[in-house]
Amino acid sequence: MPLPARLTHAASGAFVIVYLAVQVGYPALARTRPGHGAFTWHMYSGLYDGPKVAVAFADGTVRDLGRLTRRGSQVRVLGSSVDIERYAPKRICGLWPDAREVRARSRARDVTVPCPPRS
Amino acid sequence: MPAAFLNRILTARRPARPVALFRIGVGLAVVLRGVKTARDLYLLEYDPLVVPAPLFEWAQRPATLPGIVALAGAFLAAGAALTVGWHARLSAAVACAISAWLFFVDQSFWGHHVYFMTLMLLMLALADSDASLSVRWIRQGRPERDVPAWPAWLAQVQLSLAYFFTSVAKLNPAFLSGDVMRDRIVTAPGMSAMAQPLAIVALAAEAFLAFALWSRRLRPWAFVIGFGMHVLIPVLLTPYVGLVVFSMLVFAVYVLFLDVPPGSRLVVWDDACGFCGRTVEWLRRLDWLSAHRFEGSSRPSALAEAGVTAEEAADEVKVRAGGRTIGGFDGIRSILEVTPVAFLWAPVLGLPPIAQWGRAAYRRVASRRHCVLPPR
Repeated sequence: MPLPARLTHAASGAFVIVYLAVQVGYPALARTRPGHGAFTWHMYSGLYDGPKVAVAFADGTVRDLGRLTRRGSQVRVLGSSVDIERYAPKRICGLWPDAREVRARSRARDVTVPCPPRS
Repeated sequence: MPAAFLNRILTARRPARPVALFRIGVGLAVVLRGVKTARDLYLLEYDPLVVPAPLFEWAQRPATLPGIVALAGAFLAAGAALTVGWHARLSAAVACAISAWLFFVDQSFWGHHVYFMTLMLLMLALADSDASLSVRWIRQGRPERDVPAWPAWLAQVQLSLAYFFTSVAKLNPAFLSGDVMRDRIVTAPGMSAMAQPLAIVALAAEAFLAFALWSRRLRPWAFVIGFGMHVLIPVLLTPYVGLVVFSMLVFAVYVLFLDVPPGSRLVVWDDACGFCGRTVEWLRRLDWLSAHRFEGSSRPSALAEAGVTAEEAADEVKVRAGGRTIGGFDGIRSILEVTPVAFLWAPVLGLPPIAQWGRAAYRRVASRRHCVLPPR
């Protein structure tokens, strides 16, 4: 086999090995480490369902926003992989000046993020 | 990975036509996803009710309308070019790069269907996917070629890995109890009891698909189950472009599993019958993979190869494949099972009572066909 063909052959072989190692190894490893669902395969398995979100106001009322991935949700995210606990509170608190805290409830845990005090 | 196996994978070649159909399917999925990407980029910038999820300071999404149009336009153009096979490797590389870039820009662009699409684009950037059914192919006089098989093989393996790991992920109490199904699909009152059985069926289907696609015997049923699953899911769940894109990508990979060498199957038909000739013409048009040779029953060599007499071939169409000859309705089903337009559902024609009805209908049509040769 001429040198360019051998180099192509070797490069292809290296790519196949690395690709399969990553595509088999990473999802397998992620199964043993909860919270590492990105770039693994778990469609509608319930492992990484986004939380249901509610916002509590200063007057004591609570507005249930539901799952932010649902169309028709007052506040929404455009992808099911968005880390709602990390990103949603800031936007929700910014939308409603009298919001006191944002609550995210999922199967795994409940998280409450206080809105920053208004100056 | 044993060296001999790897070497066999790397040196294997396969007909270009299925790889081209894979390319077209992925290209169309990219175009559809591109429309959503354009819309999402716009909403992230201009809709205050949409939550952005930026990841890195250095990976900024376009902040102006011209910028959004440019990025989305490039993505759409790459998808269109990939579909028609215009500089397919470059188009795939551009689409793959944009899709990968968006992973760094915002978590809104993460998703199973986007990830799978990006990986398929990576394979197409490495494959000779425009050797057939492309601009280049037309310019070169439509030659039939073989291409390196390993990129397509990797795409097939990737699909199996997705099915496998998804089915493993579903082995959790929330899914097995039916809670996820109850939450997502079974929302009608009184259907709650169906949630758990549906969950078990879904899990079993995905686990089956992970392996069955590689079995020649089980593959037709894998196609049917996969077709049913990937059509039903976008219907049962909240309509979502991502699910449709994922289904399109999956079906594109399924075509790669149609591993039928060109001309490997023989169809013997009654060439004294004009009706039969018209039917064969339709079957030729559907035979995009050129898997069949259509030979008239007036050719003794065709009869000998099929192991039938002229009388038998006049009675019904005969299909010789895999060392055995079948005829009539079952022969037609066998032909359809290796055509890209019908392979996903044609195996159902072999199930009772459809098979019985089909055979009866074939016999009725065959006995009443007008055996008049078309005027010369």
